[in-house]
Amino acid sequence: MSVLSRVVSLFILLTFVLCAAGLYLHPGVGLPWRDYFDGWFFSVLQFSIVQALLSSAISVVVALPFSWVLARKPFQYQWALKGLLNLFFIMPVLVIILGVVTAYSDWLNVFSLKGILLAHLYLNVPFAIRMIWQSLENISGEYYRLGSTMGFGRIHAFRWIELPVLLQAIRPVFVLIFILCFSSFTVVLTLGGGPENTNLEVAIFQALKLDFDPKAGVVYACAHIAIIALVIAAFKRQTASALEFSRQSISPKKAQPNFIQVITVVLLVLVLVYPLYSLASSAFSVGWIGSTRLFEAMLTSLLIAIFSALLSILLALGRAFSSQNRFTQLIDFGLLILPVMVVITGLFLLALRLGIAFRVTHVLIVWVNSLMAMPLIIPALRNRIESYKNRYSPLCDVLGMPSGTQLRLVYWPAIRSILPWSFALSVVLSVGDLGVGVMVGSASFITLPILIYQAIGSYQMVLASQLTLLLLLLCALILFIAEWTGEKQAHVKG
Amino acid sequence: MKVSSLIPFTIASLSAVSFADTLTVYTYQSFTSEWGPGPAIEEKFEAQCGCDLELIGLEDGVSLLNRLKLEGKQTQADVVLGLDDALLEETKSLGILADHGLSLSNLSLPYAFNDEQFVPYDYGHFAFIYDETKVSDVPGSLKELVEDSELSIIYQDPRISTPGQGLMLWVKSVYGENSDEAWKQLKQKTLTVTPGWSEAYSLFLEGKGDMVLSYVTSPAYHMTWEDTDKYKAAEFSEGHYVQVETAAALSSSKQPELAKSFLAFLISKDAQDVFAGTNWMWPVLPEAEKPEAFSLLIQPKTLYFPSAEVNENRSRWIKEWRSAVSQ
Repeated sequence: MSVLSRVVSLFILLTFVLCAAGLYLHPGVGLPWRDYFDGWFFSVLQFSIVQALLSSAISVVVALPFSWVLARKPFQYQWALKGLLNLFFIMPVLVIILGVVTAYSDWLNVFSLKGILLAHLYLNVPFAIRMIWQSLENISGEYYRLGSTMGFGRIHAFRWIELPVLLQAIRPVFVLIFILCFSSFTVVLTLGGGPENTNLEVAIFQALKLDFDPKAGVVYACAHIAIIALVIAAFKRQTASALEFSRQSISPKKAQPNFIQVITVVLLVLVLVYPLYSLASSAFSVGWIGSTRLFEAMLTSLLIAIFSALLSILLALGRAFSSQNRFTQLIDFGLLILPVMVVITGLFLLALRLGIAFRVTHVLIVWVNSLMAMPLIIPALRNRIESYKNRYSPLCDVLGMPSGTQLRLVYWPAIRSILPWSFALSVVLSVGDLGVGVMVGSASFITLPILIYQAIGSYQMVLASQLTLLLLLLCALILFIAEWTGEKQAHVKG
Repeated sequence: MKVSSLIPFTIASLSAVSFADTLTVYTYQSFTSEWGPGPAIEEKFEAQCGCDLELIGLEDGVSLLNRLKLEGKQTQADVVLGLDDALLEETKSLGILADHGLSLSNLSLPYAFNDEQFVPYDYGHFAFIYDETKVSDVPGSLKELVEDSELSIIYQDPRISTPGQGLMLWVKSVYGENSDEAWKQLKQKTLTVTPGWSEAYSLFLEGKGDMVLSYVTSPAYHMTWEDTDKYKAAEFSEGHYVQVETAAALSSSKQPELAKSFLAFLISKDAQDVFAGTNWMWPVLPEAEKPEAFSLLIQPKTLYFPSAEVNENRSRWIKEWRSAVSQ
C-alpha cells in the first residue's frame, strides 16, 4: 500500500507544481508585491476567517445533537435520510440562495452575515450530521456491554464512550466545513449585500478574471493556504479512537425508530425541504420544457463523474492507508487547500501554453474533480482503516500475513460498507460541478450544470429550475442506492 | 479517463477531414447556447460559405478578452465575437486585430460608431426593470432613484460583472466627480450586489427587490415568451448607459478572407434577423426582423464613455465604488 500512497502524494504534488508553472507563464504583470498588503487586504482576510469560523462552528454545534439522537439505535429506512443529508451537500448554490431568501426573508435580513451563515448551514449541517452519525455508529457494542457490566448509566456511557468519539469525529468535519466556507464564493457575494462583506475568494476572482493580475492571485492563494494550514494544525486529529469499530455486525437488527428519533427525523426533513419549495413551485409552474441537448449533457456529466469518482476513490485509499505527519496532513486535503480558481487557472493556462487545452478538457475536469472530492471521503475511510489497523496489524505481523491477504481479510471488510457512499459522494459532487468545463467553453462540450447555467443566462429560469430538479433527482437516486447498498454490505459478515 | 479523452480527439480529426476550412470564433456562453443566436448563425453562415463554423463559448465578454491576452498571437481563433464597447481600447492595445474593411454607414447605432477593426452587431441600453403590479412610484431619472426614491434595488458587482460595470459607468456619466456621494446614497437602497446577472435577475423574479439592473430589452422576453407585460423598464431622463456588442477578426488568422466574410455576414440582414429574438438586444440593421414586443420598448437617450476613457479610469472608478459602498 505504501507504493500507492507515495504515487498519490506525488500526483497531488505534481498538480501543485503544474498549477504553479501555469501561473508563472501568465502574461499579466501586476503591482509591486508590497502593494497588495493594504488595509483592504487585511479587512478581507479578517472577514473570510470570521465568516468561516462562525459557519463551521455553528454547523458542528447544530449537527451534534441531531447525530447523537440518530445514532442512538439503527432504524429502518435510515439509508433514505442519509441520502437526503448528502444531497444537501451538493445542492447548487443558487438553489440554496433563492430558497433561503424566499423562505426566511420575512423573519430576518438575509442579505447580511446572517444570510451567509444560514445558507452555509443548509449546505454543511446535513453533511456534518452524516459524518458524525457515521462515527457514532461505529462504536463497538462491546464497549457498551463492558460499560453496563461496570454499572454505567446513560450519563456515564456518554462521558466515557460517546464523548471521546464525538470529540475525535468533529475535528475533521469542522476543518472540512471551515475550508469549504472559507472558499465560498457565490453565497458570500450574493447574500453579502455589498463589497463590505468580501472574502478572499472574491478577491481572487477579481484579480484573475478582471484585473488580469496573477501576482495578486498568488498572494491571495498563499494567504489562503496559510490560514487553512493553521486551522488544520490547530484541529489536528489524533489517531482514530480505539472505541470506534463496527457495531453493525453485532446488532444488525433495525427496528422502528424511537419517539425522539421520529421527532428528529421529521424536524430535519421539514427544515431541509422547506426552502426547496420555491424551486419545486417554479419547476412545476408549466409543463416540461426540455432541451435538445439534455441527453448529451447528462451522458457527458455522468461519464465524467464516474471517472472522477473512480480516480478519487483510488487517491483517497492511497492516502487513507498511509500514516499522517504534519506535511501529509495537508496533502490529505488535496486541492481544497488552494483556492479552486487558482488551481483551475493555473492548470488551464499550462494546457493553453502547450496548445492542448481543447483536447484535454475531459482529462482536466476528471483530474480536478477527483482531487476536489478526495478530501471529503478520506476521513471516513481513514477512520475505518486505522481502527482495523490498530486492532489487527500486530496479529498480521505475528502471522507474517502478506499484504495482499491483509487487504482481503482485514481491510476489505473494514471499508466495504463505506465504499458505495464514498463513490456516490464523489459522483454527485462531480455531476453538480460547473468547474473547468465553463472555462474551456467549446460549444460541443455540454454538461448538465453548463446547460442549467446557459438556460438562466437566456432568461429560461423555469427550464433552469426543471433541469435543476432533474439534477437533484439524479443525484438523490445515486445517493439512495449507495446508502442502501452500504447498509446491506454492513450486515454481511466479512 | 483514457476513453473520454479520446472523444474530443476523434471529433476534432473527423471535422478536419470532412471540411476544408474551419472558422473558429471565440464568443460567450449565452451566444452559443441552444436559446442563443449561435445555432441559427452557424446554420446560415455554413450554408453560404461551405465551411465549418466552430463556436467556442467562453463565460462572458471579460473572459473573452482574458483569453485573447493569454493566447496572444498564438490564438486559435479567427474571429472574436462579443466584446462590448467598454473593452475595445484594451483589446486593441494587444495589437492582434485585423482591419475589417467594411462600410458601417448603413447601420443604426445609438452613437456614431466608426471603427476600423470592430464591427458592431447589436446593442442594448442598461435599465432598471420593475414589476408594475407591485411598484408604483417609479423614479423618472437616475437622480430621483438615487436621491428621493424609496425603492430597493438589486445590481451586479462592477468588479466582476459587465452589467455591474455598466451601472458604474452610468452613475459616473451622470454624477461625474460627485459619484462617491451618489454611491453612498444608493447603498441605502441596495438590497444586495450579486456576482452576475443570473443571480440578480433570479432574485428579482422571486419577488425580491423592487428593481433590478438589466437591459431595456428584458421586458420583450417576458412579453414574447411568457405573455406578460407586467415587467417594465424604468425610463430615466438623463439617458441610459449603452452597451454595444462587437466582433473583430484576428490578424493571426490563416483565413483572413473567410474571417472578413463572417464579419460582413454578421451585419447582413440574414444574421441581423436572428439577434433580437435570441440575444434580446437591438440589431444594428434598422430593417432587421424583431419580435413584436420590441415596438413596445422604451427608447431612451444614450449615455456612453469613449472606450479609451473607460480603459484609463476603470480601476480607479471601481475602487471609488468599493470604498463608497463599503462604509
